[in-house]
Amino acid sequence: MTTMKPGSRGADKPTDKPGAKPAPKLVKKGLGEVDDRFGTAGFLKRNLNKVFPDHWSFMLGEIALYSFVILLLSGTFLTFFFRPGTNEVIYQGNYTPLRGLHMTEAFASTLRISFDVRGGLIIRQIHHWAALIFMAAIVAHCCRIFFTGAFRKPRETNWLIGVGLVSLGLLEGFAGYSLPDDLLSGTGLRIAYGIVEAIPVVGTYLGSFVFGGQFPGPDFIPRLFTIHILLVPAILLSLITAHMLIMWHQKHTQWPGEHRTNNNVVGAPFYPAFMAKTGGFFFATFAVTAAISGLVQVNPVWLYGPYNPMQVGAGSQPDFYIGWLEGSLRMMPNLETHVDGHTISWNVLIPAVVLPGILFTAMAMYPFIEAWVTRDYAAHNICDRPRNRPGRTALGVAVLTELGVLLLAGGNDVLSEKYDISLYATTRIFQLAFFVLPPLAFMATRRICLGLQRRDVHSAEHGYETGRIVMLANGEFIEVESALPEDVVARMGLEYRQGPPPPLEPAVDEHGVRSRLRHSAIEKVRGKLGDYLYEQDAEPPPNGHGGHANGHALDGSDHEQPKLTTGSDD
Amino acid sequence: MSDHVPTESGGSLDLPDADVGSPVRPPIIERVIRPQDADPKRADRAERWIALMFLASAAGTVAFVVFYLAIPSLHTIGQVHASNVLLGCSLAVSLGGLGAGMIAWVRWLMPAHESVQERHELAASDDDLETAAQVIMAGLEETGLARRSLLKRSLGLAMGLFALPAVLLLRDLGPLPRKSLDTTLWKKGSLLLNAETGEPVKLGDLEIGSFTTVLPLKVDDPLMNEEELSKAPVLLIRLEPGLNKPAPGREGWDFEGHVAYSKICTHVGCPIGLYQKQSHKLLCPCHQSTFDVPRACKVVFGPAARALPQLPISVNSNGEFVATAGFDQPVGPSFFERS
Repeated sequence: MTTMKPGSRGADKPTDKPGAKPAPKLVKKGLGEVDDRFGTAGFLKRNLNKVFPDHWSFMLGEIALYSFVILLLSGTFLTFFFRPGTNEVIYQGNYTPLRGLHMTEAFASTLRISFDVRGGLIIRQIHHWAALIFMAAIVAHCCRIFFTGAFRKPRETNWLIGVGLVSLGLLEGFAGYSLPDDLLSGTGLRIAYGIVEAIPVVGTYLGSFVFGGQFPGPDFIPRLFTIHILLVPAILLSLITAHMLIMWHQKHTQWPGEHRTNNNVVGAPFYPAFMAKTGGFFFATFAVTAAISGLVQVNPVWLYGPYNPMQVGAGSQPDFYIGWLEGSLRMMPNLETHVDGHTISWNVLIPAVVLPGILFTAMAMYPFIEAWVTRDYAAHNICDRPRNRPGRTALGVAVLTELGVLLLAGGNDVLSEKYDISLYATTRIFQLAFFVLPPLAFMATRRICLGLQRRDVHSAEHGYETGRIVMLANGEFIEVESALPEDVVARMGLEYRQGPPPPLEPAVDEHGVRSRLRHSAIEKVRGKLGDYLYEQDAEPPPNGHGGHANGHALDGSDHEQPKLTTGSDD
Repeated sequence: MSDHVPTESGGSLDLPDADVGSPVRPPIIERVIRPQDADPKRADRAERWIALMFLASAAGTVAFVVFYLAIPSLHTIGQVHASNVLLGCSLAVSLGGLGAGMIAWVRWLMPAHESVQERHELAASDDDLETAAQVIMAGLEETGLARRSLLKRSLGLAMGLFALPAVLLLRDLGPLPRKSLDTTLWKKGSLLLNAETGEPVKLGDLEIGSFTTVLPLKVDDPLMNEEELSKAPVLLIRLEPGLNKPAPGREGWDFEGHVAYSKICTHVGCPIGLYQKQSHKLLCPCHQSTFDVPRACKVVFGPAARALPQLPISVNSNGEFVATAGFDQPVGPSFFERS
């Protein structure tokens, strides 16, 4: 332990860093006071200098984070006025068309926020829009992570937390828009109860316990309120904190480029540039949310009216992040099994329970499945360009296509009306698309990725066509090709491409022992999956980059160069 | 790509073009010189633009306060609308000015150099790993859990039982479902009351091809709580005479072309709101399950698996519609206990 006179740490001492300006006494004294108590100087030195890589796609997660902050701020304001009650009141507020109507306290207080509290409507609008932006940003961020392979070791934990955040975000959003107890949200809850009832064995018990009895249950809105403003946000906040701390500790991934390796980070220091930019970006996100909320109406519950179990609005649509489940419910054929006095409702169970279950489980498992299939257990800090991993990219696009089909199917009544197609025809089309489009998307994406890869390899090796035509001494005309700049080639990340699979271990090794693995069924599955993730016909990575341009073109020996496009179907 | 020598933080890197800027900052790998870095006049102009954005933000904030105070209380829908647009837009200017100004400040005036930093190896040395594993094992040894099986088992029992109260406390979240899903308020002799007016529906009230929603009790009846109201709605439909084809065993459940079916969809429980007069089909607006009314409301399209339950009806001496019995099956979505 060192003992020091108060204020001694602010004393002038020549800096031991030549070329660095000594910091003012006051700053040193202030920092010293804090450091004496918390030992923060080392932490600050390290973390203020932390380098953050920069790319627009790294901003998607920031949008999600900042929308969450906006949700906390606007949501807190709303709780000051919202009453999560199911007691019946007669509306006497400012909105004349509904005056004198019987409604629950929850709906009446939502109307009060919208029409009687100054600025209440704008905060409600901001809250709802921010929720939509939050979910959209999470999905976009998740796609960025998936398509760039940023979920690979060492970041699997953060991927799992991310999957948790997506599912909790869905729940939180659904709980939120169900609270006002308007006709639309009541219909949504009725459907949710119907789905819970369809779960075999425990369904009716689960429904009764969650809702406090039969639908709608007098306890349900207050319970949903606690879930929406306390339980789920607390979990979300803790998970987001963990997500950020892990990201900070592991350091961000970066795109390939000059000077960038798997072992370094290239970008701007956290302080001040990154800090100011991300702070500015919070305000920018908030500004866009406020502008949309001021100009575009969202969830006008006063037009829907209070919930009434005898009524339903035509063209009822959930928020977009629930829409895919609505679509899957709509397009599912009406299968039901009756066994020994019991009913299993496949028509509800499969689209609303099994399908999301499979999706989220598959998402959570994906990093481990991919590592197992590709036998790649190394740590990766360089983002994959989607084209450089055609199998993974194609899989992602196929899943997105499937979700897109489901989402559109959720609005089939609107599409049917708008485009004058028979309602039943739209359902049939979506049922067909559900099975046909994802494989097509898979194949097309894979081909496109391989094509883009080939073009990259070609232009890295040959350079680009300058458009300059030169006549050679022998009278031959050639177009001069010029080498691409080094950094352009480096950004292609050609050395990080998915290669062909490693050779299988021989059926009989050098000691004459037969391989156990060769015939195991699970290894066959692994090999088959590998056929999709690996590129059997991919080019080998080039030796160095950009070296071949011009030289061979000018001496006319083009054909003698090592053939670079050796694909079987080339 | 050149070789990197891992260095202590703040040290320089063995890069051909590494450029040690400030010795206390991460080494700069690529200097970016923009026009404003070379020309102070341009930098000053950038500063003025940024200041303008901050001033716009301040003006937006003032505008927000003015708009808030200028509309002291909201009376008409027009005022609410105007208030929403003005508050939203002024807030957007206030926040947007700050955001744009800060981002422009970073991008235009702060150095744009690319810095580089080594990633620290996340994994510890094998020695450290070995030591950590040994510490864990040594501690486990100290607890004696491995040797003392009585301790281990009794602790396991105590901890395991501890979960019970937590689960048990959730028991009163709701009643057991029992038969609540099987029953409705409809019983023999229930009048078919118009859901809007609460008056009994009489023979002749409905035109051919029209329908109405009916309830067994008035909406404000004490027995008619929200739970019952969610199961009770029935559609009374008047078909053209002779059109109805009663299902076997349901002869006499209709009365002079009038039929009554539960309004609650057998898919996931939405109220069925759409009746297609020409084709005599009921369509659930939620998931488009379609029921053929003259053929016992069988499902002809959509995800619902069961026909709508039928309510047998007749007319009493006053010419009012009455139920001749309750429903013979549960209404609404299927559930596991349902046969």
